[in-house]
Amino acid sequence: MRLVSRYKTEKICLIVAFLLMFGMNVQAQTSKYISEAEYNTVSKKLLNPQNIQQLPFLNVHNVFLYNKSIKIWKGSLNGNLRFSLTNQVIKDEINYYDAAEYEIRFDPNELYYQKSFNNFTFGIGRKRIKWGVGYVSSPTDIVSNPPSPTDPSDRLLQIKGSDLFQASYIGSKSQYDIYIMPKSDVNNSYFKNHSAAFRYFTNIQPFDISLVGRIDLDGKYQAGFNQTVAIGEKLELHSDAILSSNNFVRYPPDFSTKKGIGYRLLAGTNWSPSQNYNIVVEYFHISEGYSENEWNLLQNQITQLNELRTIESTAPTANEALRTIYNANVFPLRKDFIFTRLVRNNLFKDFELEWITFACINDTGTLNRLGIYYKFQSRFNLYCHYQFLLNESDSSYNLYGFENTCRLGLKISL
Amino acid sequence: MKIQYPGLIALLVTILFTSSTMVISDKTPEQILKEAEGKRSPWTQMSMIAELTTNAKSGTTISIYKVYFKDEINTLVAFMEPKFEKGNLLLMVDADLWYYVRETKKPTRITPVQRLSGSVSYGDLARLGWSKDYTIVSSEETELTTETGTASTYLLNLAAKSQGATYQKIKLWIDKKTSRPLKSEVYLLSGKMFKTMYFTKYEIINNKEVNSQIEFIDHFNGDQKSVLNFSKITQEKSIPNRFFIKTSLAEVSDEVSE
Repeated sequence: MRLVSRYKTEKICLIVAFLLMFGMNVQAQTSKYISEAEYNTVSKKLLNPQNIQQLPFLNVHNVFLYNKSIKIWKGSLNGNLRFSLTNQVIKDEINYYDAAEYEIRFDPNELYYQKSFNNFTFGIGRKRIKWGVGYVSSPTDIVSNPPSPTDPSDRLLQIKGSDLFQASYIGSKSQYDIYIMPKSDVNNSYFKNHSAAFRYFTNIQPFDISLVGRIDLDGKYQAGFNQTVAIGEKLELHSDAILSSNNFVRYPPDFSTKKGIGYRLLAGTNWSPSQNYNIVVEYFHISEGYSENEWNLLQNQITQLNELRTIESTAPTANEALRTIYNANVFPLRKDFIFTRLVRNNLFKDFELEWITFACINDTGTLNRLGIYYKFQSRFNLYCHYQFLLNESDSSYNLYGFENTCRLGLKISL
Repeated sequence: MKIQYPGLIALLVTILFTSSTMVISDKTPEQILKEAEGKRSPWTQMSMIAELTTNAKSGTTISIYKVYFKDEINTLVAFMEPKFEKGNLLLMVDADLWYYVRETKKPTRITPVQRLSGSVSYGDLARLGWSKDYTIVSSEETELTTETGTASTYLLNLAAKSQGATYQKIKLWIDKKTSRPLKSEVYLLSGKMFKTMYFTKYEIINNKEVNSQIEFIDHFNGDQKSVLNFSKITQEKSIPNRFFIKTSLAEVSDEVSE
């Protein structure tokens, strides 16, 4: 058994200070509890022979999210605090034993103070900022991280805000935002230095348009735009694009990075043909994704490393290299993807059916998820997921850690 | 005397009786509708608390919303009760309706006819008037008998200007003496009657008579009854612009959840 405790002094101070404010004027207080059991069939291919990545076949998540707003100095102090306990069981095929682990975490996903004067709003603290308009991983979500394509709804509420200072001006049809973000652990997903971000949003009928950008002290930048347009009552079209001055992806054979400007592009539609159906289709392009040649090189290297594993003297080095590649790979790996989501409401009374497919156009591999949701007594939501891969052989999905996943969860709004 | 051009006369008579600008009594149908709208939204900027009670087989549920209206076309609905929905918002600008969920921080486009709770659709709460979304196709004078008695009314038949309106057809009964809306029947695109609404209570606020209660009967749901009560109806001096911009809903959600 291993206990991973990530409490830090400042985190504890923050939560204690926040909880002590019970006597103040509470604006809103909600909480959520999620309990989920997940069974995986671990993929033993390519990067994970004999489960060297130590991937769990059983996960049990218990998450409690406490959300509170307190009125203070004519503004509001808002907290979104996440407590979680994760239990895992891992089959170690090298040493032939099952390892059980657990992890307790406390994450202040958000904690910020905000005040508005006339058409100005100011904020300071950790706050989650959603700029993108795509359903799956929006490229213009450059302040706070977007959800993973494998879990677009962020079902376990894992996305953290960014540490920032915010100043916004809101006109009748436009909005200007400036964010100053210091160098911090949660702000370093792309920028490793102090940075500033801006957004200009306007409505030019029938388009909602945002121009966004972020720059850091070293001169690294991201700049892009997004737009949405409604066509009638049933159809919405959206696009989302970003240019980035830096590329962190490492390419075979020597796993070095490339210089030059990269870009990501998303174009999609959200269609509700009737009240009970909703369909989202999105095309997603990642310029820094692996080309066919780079993908083949990577596969060859992985194959060679797997051969080296069979030799006793080189096995530890090969295992280490496979682990490094697995951890360095940011899924998705290739360039062109199609994301689709079909929702059928009122399948039966209070039942909802969801189908998600995330397909790579370059190699035809797909990750699919069937979800059934049952809502009862307003505050209870029972869900069941079955996630599986198709055409994964010879595709980049072969590097994904899990072949099949079954998930049963209960979400309670308190 | 022989009538010349009988076809032309018949056409003129038809136009006269079907025109929306036809004068019934001493008012035009447009004036009648405008006065009725004044009983629901007497000021260009106002706020109110809306309490929705639904009597379902499984029991009675109560939902509470704070609603802000500005310039007829802008509406913000803040969810207050039940507690777990607090912080969620509904934004209507012109005909576009967005539902913002505090948890995901993302506004999702929805249609006004989608069900909010019980027998009430989003559009029932977000729109107080009719003339922005509907045209008058015909009008007549008729007697209306309700639980409270019989009244002389104007009956206006309204048709949606676009498919984006909450309903496709509305029959609206307006009291001749008081200009109060008394009853409406709403129809879907299929022609089926969806709901009947009774405007059951009025209050005097700042010398204006304002509708303070609506009863909904949902014919698609076993004639389920819901009651929407309006309280703290307040004329506002200046509701900030940020309440009606899609991109500022995250900030507004924190601000209005009082």
